[in-house]
Amino acid sequence: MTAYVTRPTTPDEWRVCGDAMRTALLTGAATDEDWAKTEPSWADQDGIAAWELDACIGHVAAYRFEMLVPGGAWVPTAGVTRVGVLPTHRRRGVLTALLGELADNARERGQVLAALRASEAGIYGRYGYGIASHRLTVRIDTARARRTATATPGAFRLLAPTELLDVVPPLYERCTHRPGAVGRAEWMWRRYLEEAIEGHTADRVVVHTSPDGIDDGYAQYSVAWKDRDGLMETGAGEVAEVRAATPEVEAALWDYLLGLDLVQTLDLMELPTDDLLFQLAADPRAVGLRARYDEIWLRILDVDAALTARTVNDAAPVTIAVTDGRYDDNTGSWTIGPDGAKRTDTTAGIATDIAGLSAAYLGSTSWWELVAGGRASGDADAVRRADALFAHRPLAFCGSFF
Amino acid sequence: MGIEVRATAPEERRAAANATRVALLDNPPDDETWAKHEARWQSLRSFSAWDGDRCVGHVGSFDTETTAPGGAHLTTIGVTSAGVLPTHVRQGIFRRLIDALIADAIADGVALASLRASEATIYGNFGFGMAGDALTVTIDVARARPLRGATTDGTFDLVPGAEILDTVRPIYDRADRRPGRIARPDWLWGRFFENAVTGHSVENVVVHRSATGEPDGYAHYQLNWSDDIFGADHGTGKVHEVWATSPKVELALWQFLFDIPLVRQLSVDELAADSVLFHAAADFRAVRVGMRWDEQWLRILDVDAALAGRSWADAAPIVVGLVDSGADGASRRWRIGAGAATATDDLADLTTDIAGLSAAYLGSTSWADLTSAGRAEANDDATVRRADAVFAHRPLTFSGSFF
Repeated sequence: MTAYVTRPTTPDEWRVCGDAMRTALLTGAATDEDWAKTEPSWADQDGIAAWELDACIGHVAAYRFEMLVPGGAWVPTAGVTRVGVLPTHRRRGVLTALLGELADNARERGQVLAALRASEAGIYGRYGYGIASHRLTVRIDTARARRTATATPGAFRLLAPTELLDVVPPLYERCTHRPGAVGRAEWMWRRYLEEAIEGHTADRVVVHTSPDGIDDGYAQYSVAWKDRDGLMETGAGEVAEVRAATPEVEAALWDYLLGLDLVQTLDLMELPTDDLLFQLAADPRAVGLRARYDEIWLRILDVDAALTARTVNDAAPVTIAVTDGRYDDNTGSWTIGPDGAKRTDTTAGIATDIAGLSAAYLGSTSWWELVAGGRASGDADAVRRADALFAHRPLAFCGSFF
Repeated sequence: MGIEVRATAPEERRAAANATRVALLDNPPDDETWAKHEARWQSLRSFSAWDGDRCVGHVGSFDTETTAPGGAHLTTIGVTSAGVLPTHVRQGIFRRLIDALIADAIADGVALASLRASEATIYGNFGFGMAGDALTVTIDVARARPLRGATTDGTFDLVPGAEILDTVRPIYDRADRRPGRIARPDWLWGRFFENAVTGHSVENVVVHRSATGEPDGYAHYQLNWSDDIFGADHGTGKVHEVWATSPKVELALWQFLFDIPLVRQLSVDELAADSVLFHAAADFRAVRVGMRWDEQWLRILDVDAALAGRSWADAAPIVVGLVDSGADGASRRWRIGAGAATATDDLADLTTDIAGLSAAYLGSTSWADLTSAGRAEANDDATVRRADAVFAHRPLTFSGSFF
């Protein structure tokens, strides 16, 4: 067996690495057209590849993101992506070496968190990542969900393809409130809005404008005629996302979507667990759940910086002992309360590994679950206090696939 | 002719049952069925609507208790057997029925009313709030195992039919950590375990005993061969419920279920949204969520008793105002937090109605949700965060008793 080496990728290696990743992720090699679309995102990432002679056998990369954490701070985050090892080179420690090097490099860049969207849920726990948010996939029966809408005092307009990249990104930044959200780079917008920009399909962005003329929310959706079981075609829609500055505007956008003429169902691939839709639908059961998946997997790279960056609720403090098998400076005890987080030598009420703390960090995975599921230990009183401090509403949700 | 709403006399119960069954898309009970159900019907707190001598609507309740956050048991009516004949809907009859039932329970000093809704659009109109949801899941057992932390030094035994009820009831009583759990009346135990006790279908109860021989958890499940018996040698199962005195024993029982030979897939109709399974499973996605539904609708009947009866997080207090809460329609306010709730005349930080307070009461529905949806009003976002810190409770609300 030949030894492999790992090293940061250079631009001339990207396409070879990209094709290796596509092989690992059940896809064929990129066409020139695919590659032209994908290349800008490679320029925006820090990649590391494993090489056996001149063959790329594995790859990982990290985007330079900022992630919103409870309290409103945006924290430097490694957006882990393009993770794969060729099927011929599994069980040789390639992924462990690559993810370790990625985390080391990210820490050197001052990134406090590493976050990823997993292809499979069985992989990342052993590398210190925990499930920090969920997403729901739903199908809405629009007739049942539609409420007697109160007319919005604002106005709606559909964006022209040429307006999209100017209007939507700044609106996203004003309308993003949930922990777990990431700032979106230009290549992400080009990818997410690709079909709407091309304009050959019924992909739309509708913008809501307040009575004083300020854009304060948008929804991205597509509509099409669908033939179901060989019966007459009916209108069906897919909603990519709904974002608004206030719940009132969000409700107005849902009224718009649920009221689209001809459309009988709306599908959403990704919806927060506590989306406003569930509260405002005339019949909550009209929002039919089809799946609930893990969304953000998070690994805290710098516990001190992470605990300082988020706020906690105004509740009694608790001491948490953390172990991190890779980074000694993340191993220790912290007393966490409304006045901040401080290293301490006092006895901890809760003990966990870095994956447990990372799962709880965004305020959506409860300490109770982590203790009950064997990811942390602690007495009942400490668990209650930790949950009172950490819990955050609205729940964490990223909504950006990367 | 007017519709009369009144307490149902014992000799009127069968007519009430007939109307209820028809309203709920069923036929009136035949003599055999009635013989089986009469005792339950006679035990209900029962109000019926009459158009002359015809019963056209009914609502009933049984007396139970609900576990509140902190573990206290609050007196509760479990509202059930509710319906109005299709010939008499949209005349306000159901409102009169439920008002009569609630007034009767309030007069008896009952703290809460709890129900499982046939439709999710009905009970918000009557002061009920959605206090907790449940998941329906399908588990791919090969992918889900092993469960982290599922090993105990205890033992498992299948319980013979005749011993089932005596075995499971004391365990259920001790497995009491989630808000929203109710005390089950005898008839509900009989209904849930009828098949396991009689052996009329392949239903099993397995009990876990600690190393000292103490029964501390059980699972109730059934198994089947799939249709394609010679093709895929593929067994499937349905898990009705798992109750244990600790998460560890609960996990051990799930692991037992996952290890049953031949069985590849298990379905569960009612699972807590934060079940111990999700974070213990080797693969989170092996526990596949197919549905999330509003499990528990709650209405607080005695606000003072309810607020005094649950624990509160040791967090900064807020003043909650409740509109139209008294008999005189006046607003009342409570300072809640730092472990206690006390009446106050101070200005409210957050205002809601009885449905909003009832939804939030068990600690699972957030004030962030309720204020976003216009069901509560708060001074600002910081107030909402404080309110959630005071009210939120883990584990989440779950009843597991459909009635």
